[in-house]
Amino acid sequence: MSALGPWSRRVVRALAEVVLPDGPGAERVETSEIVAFVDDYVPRIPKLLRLLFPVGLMMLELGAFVLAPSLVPFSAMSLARRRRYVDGWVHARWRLRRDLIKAVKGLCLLAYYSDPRVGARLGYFVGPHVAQVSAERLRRHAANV
Amino acid sequence: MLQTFDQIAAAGRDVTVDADVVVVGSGAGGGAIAAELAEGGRSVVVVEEGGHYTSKEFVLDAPTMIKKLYRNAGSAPILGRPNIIFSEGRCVGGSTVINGAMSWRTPDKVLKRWQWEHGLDELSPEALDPFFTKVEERVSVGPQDPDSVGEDARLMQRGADKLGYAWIPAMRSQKHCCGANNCAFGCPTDAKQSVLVTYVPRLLAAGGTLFSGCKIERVLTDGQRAVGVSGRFRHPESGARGPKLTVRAKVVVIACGAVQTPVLLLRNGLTNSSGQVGRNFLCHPNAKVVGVYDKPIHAWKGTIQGNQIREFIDEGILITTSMVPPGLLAMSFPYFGARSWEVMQDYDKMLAAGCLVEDTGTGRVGVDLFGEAKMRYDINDRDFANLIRGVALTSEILFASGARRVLLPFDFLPALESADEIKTLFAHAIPKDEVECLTVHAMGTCKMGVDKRSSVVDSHGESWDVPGLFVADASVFPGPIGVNPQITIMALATRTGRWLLDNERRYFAS
Repeated sequence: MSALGPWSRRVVRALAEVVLPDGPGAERVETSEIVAFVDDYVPRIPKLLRLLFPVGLMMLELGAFVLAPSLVPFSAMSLARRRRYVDGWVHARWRLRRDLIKAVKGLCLLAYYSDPRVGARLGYFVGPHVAQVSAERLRRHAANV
Repeated sequence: MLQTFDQIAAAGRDVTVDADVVVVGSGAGGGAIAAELAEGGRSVVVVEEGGHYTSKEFVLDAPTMIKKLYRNAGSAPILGRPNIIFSEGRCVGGSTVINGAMSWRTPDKVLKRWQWEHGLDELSPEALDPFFTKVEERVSVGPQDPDSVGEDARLMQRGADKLGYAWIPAMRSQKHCCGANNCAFGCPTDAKQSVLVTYVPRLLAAGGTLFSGCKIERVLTDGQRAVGVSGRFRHPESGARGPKLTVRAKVVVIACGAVQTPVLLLRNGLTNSSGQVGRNFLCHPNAKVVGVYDKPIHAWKGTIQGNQIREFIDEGILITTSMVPPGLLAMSFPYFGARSWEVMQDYDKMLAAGCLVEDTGTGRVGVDLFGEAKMRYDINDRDFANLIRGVALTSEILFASGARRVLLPFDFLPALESADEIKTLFAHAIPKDEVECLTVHAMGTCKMGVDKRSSVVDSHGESWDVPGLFVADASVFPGPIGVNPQITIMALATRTGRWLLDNERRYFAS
């Protein structure tokens, strides 16, 4: 399933570059992986939201002319300017702007922090843990049976 | 017999079957009533919209499982002030596959309220006891093995003890759960006794039929009685269309949950002479509060909820732990970029807790332009005050347990650095829009009652308007219950099943 056209993908990529952690020690995940994740996720959300998703991205992209204000759209702004612009959306007085950025930002962060390499950096080793409890569970259940 | 989308699509032919009973939905209500009827000797067909997945297919990647097991990938919004994210299962086993398996009987005070305010005298604790007992046996309700309780639950317990707040160990439907803490994404060990591993096997062993990957669109009537359902097979993930399904039955049971059940009934223009279908929408709004400790606590290990703080239950506030993987936690914070990483560095030192409010206000479920659910719910002032109080109390417990910092579900006030700062929550009016809310408990949208002018179904779940049409899910609750609803849903559905079996001549005479 694919939901995003090339234009929407460009905006999501530009947003992902802002949203993804890039501080010292932060694990690097390719923005293309984040865009692919969002692209796969959007077809599953409620139909009304699915239709509004590109409209929201358009508001983010073209809103830069008015809200930044900028002579170029969001995706063409420098990273530093994009950061300030997104911060303005996160703390916007207009709730729709906050909700929109929260949703797209949330998807990007979900994709990033769900990467096993990132999880490992945070001390989240779910695989070995589940393997261990599965074996223990089988042992106890077998004893019970 | 289990028939999946792939099997039906491969055959390529429309399917028509006859049965005594058709059940739409295979979650807590649908699974329980279907097994009860099949084991009682009735021919039963269950139709589930979602796919059939077993623990062999449950992987440890939360987004992958959310896309498979959750309706709308867990992202359905309840619009209002504040917006609330609603998540429910859409798979064989329904939300029991993705819930925490918390198993509490309906509190006596709730049943008393239902008796007094809704005239449901038959639903006394004594009358429901055999159904609770049966359900608890079927899904193996019991306390956790103590060593599977995680450090997060122990810390909450320690904090509550310090403050003198009452708590109780969790009762869960599980067999030797060893604390994978993956309940919300499909139990990888089959320890959780969801409908998928309890009622569904019972149904199939008793000769029942289960179709998965089929969306029911029509409830068929002969002008008076319900006589069946029809719909179309659709691939649970891609949505690809398959053949049509028609089930002709003497009794139709709708058990799609308190959001999808009213949508199906409204789309069919059925059983709404009271105008109550979709109204009285209750959702136990809840908010997440995260404690950050000085050293790693590995809260992602151990059972999802080891205990519940019950000190404030009479005020309508329930507090418990609910740790989630890093991705889900990070997306709920207002941070991004370098700041997000800085905060998430402490993930292994974090404990996520939640406070749930027993709502006194109601919302409404309707149908949107595309025929999908449209949910509207504005939290009222009283419940909002309770939610803020719940956040404050949860913060207090976290600090008492040793947290050095508490992260809040408010955009304008993201953190507290000490217990002394809790009072700032009450210093200013908090805008409702600023609160991050979520819920997994939808209830009340086809409420039962004794007066057909003010309720949708009678005390056995049968429609006042359409004989032979039953509702068997949390829609029938006339009010909120303040605790996790799984066992109440199962007990009421089992009771409805028993009612049908005890009244064979009325419902099944040909």
